[in-house]
Amino acid sequence: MQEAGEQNAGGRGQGGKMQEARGPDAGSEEREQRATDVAAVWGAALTAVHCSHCGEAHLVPEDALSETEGNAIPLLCPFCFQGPVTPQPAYLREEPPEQVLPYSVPERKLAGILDQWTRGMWFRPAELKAGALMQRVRRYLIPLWLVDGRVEGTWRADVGFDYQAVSYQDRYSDGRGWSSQEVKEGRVRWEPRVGRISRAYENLVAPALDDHRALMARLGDGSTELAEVFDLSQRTGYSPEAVTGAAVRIPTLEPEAAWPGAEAAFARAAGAECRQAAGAEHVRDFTLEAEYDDLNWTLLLLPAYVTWYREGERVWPVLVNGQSGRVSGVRRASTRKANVTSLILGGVALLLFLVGGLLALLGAALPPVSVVGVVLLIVGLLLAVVTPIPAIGVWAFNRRSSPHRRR
Amino acid sequence: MNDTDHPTALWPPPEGFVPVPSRVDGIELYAPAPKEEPEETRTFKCRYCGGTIAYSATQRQLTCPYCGRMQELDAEEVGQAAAEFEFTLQTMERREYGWGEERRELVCESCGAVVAVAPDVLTSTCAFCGSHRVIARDVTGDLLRPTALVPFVVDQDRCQAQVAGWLGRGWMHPPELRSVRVLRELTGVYLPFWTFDARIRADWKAEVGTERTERYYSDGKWKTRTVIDWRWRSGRVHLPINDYLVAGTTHVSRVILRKVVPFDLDGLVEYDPGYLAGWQAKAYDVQLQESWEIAKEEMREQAKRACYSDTGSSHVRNFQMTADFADERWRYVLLPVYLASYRFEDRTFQVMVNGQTGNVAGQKPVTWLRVWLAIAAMLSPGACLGLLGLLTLALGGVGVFGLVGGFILLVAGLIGAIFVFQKARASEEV
Repeated sequence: MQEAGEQNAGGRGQGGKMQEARGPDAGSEEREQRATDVAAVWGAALTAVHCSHCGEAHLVPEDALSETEGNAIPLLCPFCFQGPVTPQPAYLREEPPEQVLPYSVPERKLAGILDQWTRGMWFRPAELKAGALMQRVRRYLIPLWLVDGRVEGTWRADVGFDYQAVSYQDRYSDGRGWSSQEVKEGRVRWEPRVGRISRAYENLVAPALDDHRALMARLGDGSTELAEVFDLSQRTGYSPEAVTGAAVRIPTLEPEAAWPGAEAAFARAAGAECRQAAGAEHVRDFTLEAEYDDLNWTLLLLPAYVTWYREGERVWPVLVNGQSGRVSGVRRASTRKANVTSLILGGVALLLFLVGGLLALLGAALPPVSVVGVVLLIVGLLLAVVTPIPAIGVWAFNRRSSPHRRR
Repeated sequence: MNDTDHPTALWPPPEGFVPVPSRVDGIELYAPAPKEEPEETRTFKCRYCGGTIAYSATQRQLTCPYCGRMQELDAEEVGQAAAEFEFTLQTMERREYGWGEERRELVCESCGAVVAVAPDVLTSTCAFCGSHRVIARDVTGDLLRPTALVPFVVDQDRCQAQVAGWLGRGWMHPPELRSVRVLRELTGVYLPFWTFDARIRADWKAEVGTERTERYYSDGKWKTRTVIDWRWRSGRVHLPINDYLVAGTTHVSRVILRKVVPFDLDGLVEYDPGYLAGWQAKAYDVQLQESWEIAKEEMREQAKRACYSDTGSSHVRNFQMTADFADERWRYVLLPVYLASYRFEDRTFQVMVNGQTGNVAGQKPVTWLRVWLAIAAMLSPGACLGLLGLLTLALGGVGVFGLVGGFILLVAGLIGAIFVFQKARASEEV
């Protein structure tokens, strides 16, 4: 099956729109000679760069790169913001993307969304504010394959039919005896089906990135179902303006490598239609053995925004769904602010404690003073108790919001 | 695309799959072929001599009484794995109806019993009440078809011997019973039964008492007494119930039926009309839902007993429980019995023999004079000795022993008398 898929995936380039796409680090001598002139193919002033930290390849505006050339601060990776990017040749297909999904959240609304996201926390870092984030915000486009094709083959599955069964719940209590209640339970009756299929499908989704699922989970509030993350019905044709000034992730999965994902999408679509053909409500253990013809691959760019802030020694990226406005990122509290607050509280507590102790000693000679001294001692003691709260609280907050822990 | 283009793993469809309509163009569907409906009616004639053949309990196959040739039945022994059904409307609609063979119904105008018989059976006696007011009519086709049955194992000869031995036993019955004409009236009948399975999850909550002995001071001395400490407890009991039997007819005595069970349901075979050839079959007159209510009441009582047992104490109050039924399933089966009814001194008595095990139960007339005499004989020693003790008490202290001995004998006699009376009454009970 895999062979068939690869064969088809490889063969479609002759008639389809897609040729191939290569990451910048996959450079053989032959390919180097065919490095894509991105600006010419895409019609926009973009250049390919590679991040030495996260290893991801992007297309970034040429002027963004030229601004940093010669400067002490190099351009940070638009994805991880942890390392500088370096220009590298890109090996892309000879056509620009066919479609883009327009931004539904304009930049003017983004400030409000980020402001809402950053509010409601103690010891907020100075950079974790909507204004600071907006200064660094950049449009970020995520590639996705849409595949059309015809499936010819055989299938087998268990299809499930809903039905209702009657059950009972009886109650007994001393004095009242038995009472019976009828309960209707929904159950599924599974039956085997086999058959042949000859159907054409359009715009099935296949990942173009290795980390597609992780990205969709970040953009879709945990859901990796693309239909729940983006509304693909709003997609439009590609124009150079759509990518001007934006950072574009370069696909890491060319059609050959993306074929397993596409094949799974074909199987899901076929399974759903076979279930429909059987008039059933459920399908399971769907097996499809098929040949795929007339494959056509379309590259779609999904809209997002990226920005970042610095807290402590690290840079924390923030990703925003350009269609739904859903913000994904780690909100870190400032440990420095919290530690300083704890230190100040500790210093005041110590001062009160010392003054209180001194007054208590003077109380031996001047009794009314001892009362004030004792009060100050108590206040100092109480303050000492609450002193570590800011530092511990922030530590706990940051620990809870840590991406490793959340996973 | 032709067949040869397809991988062979999924194609062609497995054996027994047939095309079914598809709701989507371009998708062909194959589903398991529905179970072949048996011919609407089957007649059981010998293929050699044309005589009417019958299922033989001794040969365990269809046998021609005229030429002696036999014909095997291919129904599989399925035991307790016989098909069961859930309580769904859909399941009920999918069930098969009728007997699957040509049958007539005999209706007793006296007791109302209806039995299905082969079309050429000529009988004018009701197997249930012995009445001769029997009329024949066409079979009504709206009854469910049985799922399985236990075939007859005990034949007529063994059955007659069992019944003769049973009738001749017992001192409290008239000796004329040994020669009563019942032996020629034994009729093999498949009786309808519903079997029910369920899993019950019972959650209980109650105040459970624990006994404790304590010392207390009263009237100037220390005494001990038992007190009960009450505490709220709760628990959960899982109770699986398998093949709970409920008779599907009211035309046989439940008292007698209780005495001839159990049946070994491991002997269940898939329903095949061939097993009915030569035998009568009683259609159910107690509907599924009604029978399920009977079974459910008994099941939940079982669950209640299990919950009480789970409390671990004999002191329980404010007991509450919830019984959640799950996986309720039923099946309709036929079980073999021989029925006979005979008249003795203008009264009708029923006899029933388990057609699988040979257990005999039924009503037997009682010679009450013998019973009363036996009771009198049991009570008289105590009464006499007591009376004697009473008389001698007036004469001196010796009478005390007689009085005590008489009382003991009277109590023992009473117990014996009650036992004999109950047994005599049970003999006639229906």
